[in-house]
Formats: sequence, C-alpha cells, structure tokens
Amino acid sequence: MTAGLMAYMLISVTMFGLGIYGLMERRNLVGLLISVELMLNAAGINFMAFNYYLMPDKVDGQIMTIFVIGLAAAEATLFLAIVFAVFRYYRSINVEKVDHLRG
Amino acid sequence: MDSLPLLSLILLCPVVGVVTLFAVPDHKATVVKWVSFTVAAIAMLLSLIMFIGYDRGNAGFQFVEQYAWLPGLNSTYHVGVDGTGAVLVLLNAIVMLTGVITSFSVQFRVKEYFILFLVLVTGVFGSFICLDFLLFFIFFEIAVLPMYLLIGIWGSTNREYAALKLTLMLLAGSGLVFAGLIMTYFNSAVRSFDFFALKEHAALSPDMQNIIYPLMFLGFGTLAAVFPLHNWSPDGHVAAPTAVSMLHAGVLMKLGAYGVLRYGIEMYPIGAETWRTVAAVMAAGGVVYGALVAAQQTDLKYMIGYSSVSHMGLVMFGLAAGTSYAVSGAVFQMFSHGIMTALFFSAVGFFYEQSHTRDISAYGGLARKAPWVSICFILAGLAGIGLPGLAGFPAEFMIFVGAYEKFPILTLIAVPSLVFGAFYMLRVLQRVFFGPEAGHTPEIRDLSFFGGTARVGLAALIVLFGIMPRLLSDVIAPYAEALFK
Amino acid sequence: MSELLQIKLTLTTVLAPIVSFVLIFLFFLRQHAIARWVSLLGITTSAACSTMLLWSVDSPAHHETVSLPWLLPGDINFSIGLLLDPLSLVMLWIVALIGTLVQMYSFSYMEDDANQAKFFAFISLFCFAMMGFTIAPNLFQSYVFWELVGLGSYLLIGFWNHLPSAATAARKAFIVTRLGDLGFFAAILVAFAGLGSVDYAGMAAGKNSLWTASLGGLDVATWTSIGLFLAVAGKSAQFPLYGWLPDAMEGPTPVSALIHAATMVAAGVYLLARNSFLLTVGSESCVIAWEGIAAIAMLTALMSGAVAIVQNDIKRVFAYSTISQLGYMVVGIGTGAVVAGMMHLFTHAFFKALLFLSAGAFIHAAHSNSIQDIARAGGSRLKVPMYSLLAGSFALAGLFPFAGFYSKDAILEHLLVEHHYIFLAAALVGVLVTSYYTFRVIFVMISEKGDGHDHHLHTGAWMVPPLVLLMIGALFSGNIWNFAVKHWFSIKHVEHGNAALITALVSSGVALIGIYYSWRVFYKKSSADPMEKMKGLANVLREKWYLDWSYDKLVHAIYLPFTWLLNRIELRFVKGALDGIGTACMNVARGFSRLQSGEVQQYFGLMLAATAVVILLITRL
Repeated sequence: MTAGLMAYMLISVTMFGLGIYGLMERRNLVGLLISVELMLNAAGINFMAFNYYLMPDKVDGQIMTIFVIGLAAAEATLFLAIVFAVFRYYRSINVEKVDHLRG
Repeated sequence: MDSLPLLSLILLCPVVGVVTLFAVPDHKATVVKWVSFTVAAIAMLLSLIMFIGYDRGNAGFQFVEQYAWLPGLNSTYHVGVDGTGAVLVLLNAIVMLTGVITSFSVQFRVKEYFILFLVLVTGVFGSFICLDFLLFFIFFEIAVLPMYLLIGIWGSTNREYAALKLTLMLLAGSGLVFAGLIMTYFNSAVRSFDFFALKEHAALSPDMQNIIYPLMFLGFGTLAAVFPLHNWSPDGHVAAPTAVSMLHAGVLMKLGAYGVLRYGIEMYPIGAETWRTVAAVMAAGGVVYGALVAAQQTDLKYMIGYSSVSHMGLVMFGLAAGTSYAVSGAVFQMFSHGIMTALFFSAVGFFYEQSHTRDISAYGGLARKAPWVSICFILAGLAGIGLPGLAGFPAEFMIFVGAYEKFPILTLIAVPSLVFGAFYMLRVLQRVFFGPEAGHTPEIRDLSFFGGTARVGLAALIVLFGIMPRLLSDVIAPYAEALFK
Repeated sequence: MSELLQIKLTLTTVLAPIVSFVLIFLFFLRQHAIARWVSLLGITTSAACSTMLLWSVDSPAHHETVSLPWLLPGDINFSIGLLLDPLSLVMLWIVALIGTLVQMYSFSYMEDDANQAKFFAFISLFCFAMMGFTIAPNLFQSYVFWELVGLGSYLLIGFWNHLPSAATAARKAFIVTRLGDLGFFAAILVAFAGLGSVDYAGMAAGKNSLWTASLGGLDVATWTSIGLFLAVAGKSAQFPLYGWLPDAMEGPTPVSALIHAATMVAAGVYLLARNSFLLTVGSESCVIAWEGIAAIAMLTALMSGAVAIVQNDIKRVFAYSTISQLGYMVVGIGTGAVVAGMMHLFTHAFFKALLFLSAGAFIHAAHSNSIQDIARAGGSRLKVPMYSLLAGSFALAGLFPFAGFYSKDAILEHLLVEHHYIFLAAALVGVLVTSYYTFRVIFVMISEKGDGHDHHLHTGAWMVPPLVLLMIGALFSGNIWNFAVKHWFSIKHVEHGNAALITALVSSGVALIGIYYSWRVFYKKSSADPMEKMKGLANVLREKWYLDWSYDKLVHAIYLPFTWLLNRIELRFVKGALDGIGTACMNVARGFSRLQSGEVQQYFGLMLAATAVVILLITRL
C-alpha cells in the first residue's frame, strides 16, 4: 500500500469523523447539513483514492463519486426545503426544539 | 340452468355493486341506496333460484365451478355448495337484502357505508361457497375487516372500544386459523389448499389433527362467540349500526360455526372426536350462561347480544355432539337464528332511530302504538325461546335430540335454557310491548311500507320455516347423514 | 264411515279454527262483527265434524294413525299426523263443543271490548292447538301442540295486557308451565334414546327390556313417567306448579272457562291417560313412580280445596276447585283407573265450564269479582246464571243425579276396590271440603240483602244458550259417559259387590254434611266460621300455603341474584380479562415509546451504537 493512499484515507477518516461529531453536537440544522456533506465527501474521496491507486484502468470509483455528488446536491435541496418548513413552523432551526415525534 | 355459473354470479352481485358505487358521486345518496338495493335483490333472486334448484336427494356439492387461480400453490378458484352452504347462502342473501332496506335510513357518509357493507357481504358469500382453504381464508378476512370501520364510523355506544375489541379478537382467531392452515398445508401428503384434496388425501396423523383441530375450533369459535370467547359480540352488536348488527349476528357469527363444521369437523374428524367433550362443555356452558346473563341486561341490544351467545352456543353444541340429528339441528339453528336476530336488530334499530334509547325501561305499551313492528319483534322473541310453529323450535329440538345420544347429562343441563330464555324474553316483551306506557315513552310510529317489507318479510320467514321445517331440513339432512355415515 | 272420510273430517275439525285465526288476523282485525262470526263458524264446523266422528266410532278397538314426517325427510319419529281412537275422539269432541259454547258466550261477554277481534283470533288459535294436541299420534306432536296451547293460554290470560296484573299473570303461567315442559322434553329425549321411537303405538309395543333398561339408577319407563308428570304438574296445575292457575283468572272469564277449566288444564290428564301404558311396561320402580304421582295429586286436591274455602274472588274459588278436581283425575289415572279419570275429566269439563260461565255472567253484570260485591249488587236476582250456578255446584259437590256424582264415585269406587284406603279417606275429606266451599259461594250470594240500589243487572243475550246447554251437560254428561263407556271403550263394568253402592252412599253423605255445615255457617250464621277459630290455618290458607311466596323467593332470592352474579363475573372477569390484555399491551408499548425522544441526534447516536454492535457481532462470528 502506498503512502499516498494512506494520506488520502487519513484525510477522509478525519473528514468523516468531523462529520459524525458535527452531526452529534451541532444543534443548528444547517450545521447538520454541513456535517452530512462532510461525511458524503469523505466517502467520495475514499472512492477516488481507491480507484486511482488500486485499479487505475477502471472508472467505477469515479462513477460512484459523481453519483454521490449528485445525491448530495439533491439531498441538500430537500434538506434546505425541510429546514425552511421547520423554520416557518417553529421559528427556529434548533433541533432540540423540533421533537414532535417523541413518544 | 346447469350451465349457468350461479354461485359466481351471486358472488359477483355485491362486487358489481361496490364497483358501481365507486362511480356514483358522493352526494347522490338515493342513487347509492337504490344501487345497493338492486344488487341485493338480484343476489336474493339468484340465491333463491339456487336454493330451489338444489337437488335435495344429493348430499354432495352442487353448482361446482373450478378455475385456476394460484397454480404455484395448488390453490384454485373452486366453488360449490352442499346442504350447509346452500342454506347459508340463502340466509346471507336474505339478511343482505333486509339489511340494505333497513339501511335506507343511514344519513352519514352513505356511499362509504354501502361500499363497506357490500364488501362485507362479498366476503361472507365467498366464504360460504369457496372450496379452497386459502381462498376461503381470504374471503373470511374480507368479511371480518370492514366491520371495524362500519362500527367505528357509523356505530353508537362506545363504538371505538367495541370496534377495536371485536377486530382484535377476530383477528386473533384468524391467526389461529391461519396457523392451522399453514400446518395443514405443509404436513399433508398433498401440497394443496383444495378442500377435496385435503379432505381425501391429506393423511394428517392423528397427533397432527389433535393439534390443528383446537386451533380451528378456537379460531372459528371466536367468531361464533363460543363461551368464554364471546365477549366481543354483545359489545359489538350494541355498538354497530342496525344493518351491521343484523349482518353481524345474522350471518357473520354463522361463518364461524360454518368454519368449525367445514374446516374443523369435516377436515379433522379424529381431532374433532378427541376434543368433542371439551367443545361440548364450552358450548353448553355458553347456552346456559348466555341465557342467564341476558336476564340482567337493561339495554335491548345487550339482551339480544347475550341471547345470541346462548343460541350460538346451541349451534356449537350440536356441532360438538356430532350426530346427524344434532348437526342438522345446528345448521337449521344457524339459519333460524340468523333470521331471528336480523329481525330483532332490525326492529330495535327501528325503535332506536325514533327514540334514541334502547333502555328497556324507557318503553311500554308499544304493541298498541306500533302493532306491526311489535308483532315482528314478538315473533322473533317467541322463536328465540323455541316455541313450536316458529323457526327456532325445529332447530333446538333436533340439536337436543341429537346431542342427548352423546352427552345426556350436558344436554339435560342445557335444556333448562328454554326456561331461562322464556324468563328474560317474556319479561322484556311485557315491559316493552305490553303493560302501561312508561311515563316518558317516546313517540313511536309504526313501520312504513318499504321498511315494513323487510321486517314483516323476516317475520313471515320465521313462521314459514317454523310451520314447514322440511323446506330447510330436506336440504340439510342428507348432508348431515352423509357426514356421519 | 270410510277411513278416508274420517281423516278428512278430522282434518276439517282441527283446521277450521286455524283458518278462522288466519282470516281474522289478516283481514278482520278491525271488523269485530265479522271476526266473531268467522271464529264461531270455524269452531262450529269443528264441533259438527267431531260429533260426526264420534258417531262413526263403531268398534272399541277403533285405532287409526296417519302421520307424515315433519321435522326431517323420511324420519317418521318426529312426524305430524293424527290418531283416531275413542280416547282422542271423545277429547276432541269436548274441546270443540265447549269451545263453541264459550265462543258463543263471548259474543255477549266481550261485546264492549275494543279488541274483540283479536280475542276471537286468539281463542281460535287456542282451539286449533288444543285439538292438534288431542289427535297427536306421538309424543313429539303432543309436545309441539302442548307448547302452542301454552302460547294460546299466555295470549289470552294477558289479553288485557294494559293491566300489569294480567301481563304478569300471563308471564307467570307461561314460565311455570314451561318449567314443567322441561320434564316433557326430557321424557321425549329419554324415551327416544331408550326406545328409538316416540310414537304412542310404537312405545306401547316397545320391548319390556328396553323400557326396563337401567338408566341413572331407575329405568327408562320410570324417568319417562316422571318427566311426563312434571309436564302434567305444569299444565294441569298440580303441586308444586299449580300457583299459576289462580292468577290466570286475570284473563277474560270465557277464557277461564275454556282454557283453565275445561280443556288446557285437562290436557295434562289426557296426556297421562295416553301414556298410562307405562304402568304396564315398566318395572317395580315405575309402578312406585305412578303411585307417587297419585299421592302428589291427592295432596294437591286437598291443599287447593282448602285454599278455596278462604277465597273471596268467585273465579279464584273455582280456580282452586279446578286444581282440586284435576287432582282427583290424576289420582284416578295414577292408580290405574284411566277410564274413571277420563270420565271425571269429561263431566268436569261441562260443570266447571258452566260454573265459570255463570260466574262470568255475574261479573259481567256486577263489574266485580268479589262474591260479596256481586251479592250486594243483587246478583242472586239474575235467574239463568243463578240456576246454572246451582246446577254446577250440585255437580261439583257430586250429588245425585248430577254428572259429578257418577264420575267422582267412579274414582272413589276404584280406590275402594283396589284397596287404596289412604287415598280413599283423603278423597272423602276432599269431597267434604269441596261441597263446603262450593255452597259457601251460593249461601253467601243468597244471604246478602243487597245494598238497596237498583243495579239493572242483566244477562247477555248470547250467554243464555250456552248456560242452558251446559246445564244439561252438568246434569247428564255422567249418563252420557256411562253410555259411551259401554259403547266405545268396551270396558266390562265389573260388579264389585256393593262397592258402588257403598261409595255412592258414603260420598253423598259426606257431601251433604259439607253443604249442611256451609248452610249453618254462611246462610243461617248459627255456627261461627271455622276460619275465625283457626286463625293460624286461615292465614296459611290465605297465603296459599306460601307457594307464591316460595316462587317469589325462588326468583328474587335465588335466580335473579345468581344471574346478577354471573353478570358481575362477565363484566369483571371475562370482559376484565380482555381489557387487561389490552392494557398490558398498551403498557409495554408505552415503555418502548419512551425511546422515541424526538431528538434526531439521539436517534443518530443509537444508530451508530447499533451499527457498532452489529459490526462487532459480525467480526466476532
């Protein structure tokens, strides 16, 4: 395994960990969205790195990454729409206030 | 007539009704009612043709049709009727028609009401004619589920509670039946759901039968309100709208008894033999218990509900005893109890619509104010206590005569229910119809012509089958005799 | 007469009243005048046909049965048909004849009633049921019509059902007789299971071994007898089920005359007579059972006769007297004197119907049931009813040459000849009591001076012919029967030395003593009323031996509390158990629902933790 791949993986793990941390700790919905984006991009970096180092003549990883980017865009749109709706209803985008689903 | 797929046509009537009703605009309540009436009348006519055309000398299945349905599972669309089926299809058609007539007074969400009503009837028809276990089960569920909505939306007293209890208990019963169904399918020598194939070639071991039969008895027995699994039924009757009570007590409970007979006793004879005494004790317990508890009820519908527990106990008692007299009587009782309770509920509904009370003490001297509907109710009441000349007597008599052979002591314990029945029934008749008018007796006018046809028709049937029981027993008896050859 | 014609005549006899019933019910419920004629026409047809039938009986062995499967195809056990023999034909004739007279009488009695069409419809229905019962060739048909007779009685007792007392009396009559009918039902079950047949001919011809087959300690015949007697105790008002009959007097008086004196209450006696072959087929225990039946009947006769002494309602006096006379009939049949028992039934039908109808004439005129009230209103000035009351009383007391003399003596003579001395002694006491209370009514009537007002009493025009005809019956029915016994029953009248003469003299003497005493107490008033002296006994009698009290306690202290208890159990345990299951499910669900905090981040954490656990599990495996 090359040192380059290792570096990419370190970056992606860090980004993923930051994403999870953000997801757990942020109370702001937009912050959550950013955290999710971080995690998605960490996965994208992983795909690209493995593709480049392990099987350079294939394009599977690139396709997956493009998918992820596309999905992330769609997800962000939906998410922001939800955030708007939530804000209109609760006058806040703090997740702790949005707990109508509690049992 | 032989070439006509009569049973499928009968089954199609309510289906066509449902489809047509979907096309009718919501606000055209009158159209909805007349469409329902038309399909019910056609089904009635076809059932009558079927019943008259039924070959009385032949104990086997008649009007049989079979088409492929799920070849992978060896399940087919296989329909036909024998002595029991023919009688019960006729009963269902009668109750359906009178129920639709009684429902003409429904005002709220008429279209949905009639759609659900017809779906329910479809399920019942299907169950009575299907000779395929899987298809039967599906129709059985179709018959049970609309009840939840019908009671929950159009019901009265405590309707959510009653609807929930009823549905849950019946579904628990279906669960047992389904378990038995699956066990039968995977343990039988033939991988088939066909009634004949299973009955002839299933070759279930006695142990297996002894396990499956109680599932069937309890599962279907819940629907037949066998003691002590009866508690859903009085609550359900009370909460349900009039026509649904009629259908419910009149036909749906018979579906349970029919299930015990066809998919219990006929299919697992060894199991039935093993559990006979237990079944008979439960049934006889219900007969006496229902009649005693009915004496304490102050709500007319509860009173009828508990008398139904008693009468259905008789049906189950006859089935459990398993002699040809007893089974003939049980099937006869299914029919006469069906007509009788349909009439009861129809009449009580008639009073309730006008006075908004079912409290027995709120009424008095009705026989003078509304003689026709009173006569109908009184006839049903007298049939209920087994008065000869009315439809209840031949049934009860045959059940007791047949059961005495197998369970003399239990029979002698159950016979006094005739007196207990007379005790509560005459008390109610005296309170409600005779005697002085209660201080706050509501104004009750008598039946209109159209509504009268249903009630008077049912009363006339009670008298007709009471005077000429052979009209029914000619159909039933060959079947029952063949069963115990 | 050819058999076919006989069958047609019988069918006409039985079906004519039901045709009237249907016609009135469907068309003439509002046309009273037509309704009563339709009804009378129906029953007159029956009377005419049954008379012809009776005439046609040429041989005593005449026995003809026709039956058709009714309940099940090809099953002759439970069939409907007809049985023609002297017994059934005589009974049929009584029913049709008394029915005709009573309906005619009702023209006047019910003239002011707003529902009289219904009355005539019901009474036609009753006549049909009674005749269907009479000609029944098997126990099954007997049961069917037995119940229908009960229905007719229920409807007619409760005819004035706006009166709570009438409705309650009707219900009581139905339920108490139904209690007895359980015995009938059980008898059918036992006989059918034991013999495989409930046909009278088949049962009588049944093998002795089948009848004496052991069953629960006794034998089949004994259980059948006991069951049937229970039924008889209900319908024919024997101890302990007789309490309903006095209350049944709430019905219109013609009904009391027809149903509760002449026909329905006699149905039980007829049923026993029909089944008297059980005495010969059963074993020792069966004979003992029949003796027990006779003993209970004797007890009934004495108990109810005693109660009749203290009754002030004229109809109740006769009601208790009916119970007492029915007791005599059952004693006769229970000890084997079927013909004597039936003879008493025959004569009693006439003179008791007569007594009731004359009582009805007084009640109709004076608008009161109380003997004293009637007397005060000048009831004794009503000529025809007074004569008929006298004739009926003489017959009831059993004085020569009235009908009761012959029939009562037939039973007494049998008791003497068969050495049933205890029964004989008891029966003679009964004769004394009977004549005492019967003439009490008359002496009270004629001793009252009247209250001075002119009440303009009159007897209805339609009342006179039935009363006159029944008076003739009360005089001669004993002789008619004696002629009939020779002609139809071919019973050789065995001379037992002077037994007949002895019983005739003794019983007449006893009856005269009773009348004399009654005269002293109630007319001449030279002796004190014995009831004044025996206060304790009088109270017991006024409480009717506490029988009604016991019924009341049985219902209100035992039956209803028991049903109440069951209802509590139903609500608390059966319903409670289901609700409990529901609540338990809800509680478990509520526990799990705590996890649903609504906080996204907690969900996410849980998800992560779960994923970690799954990964751990997978890698470990």
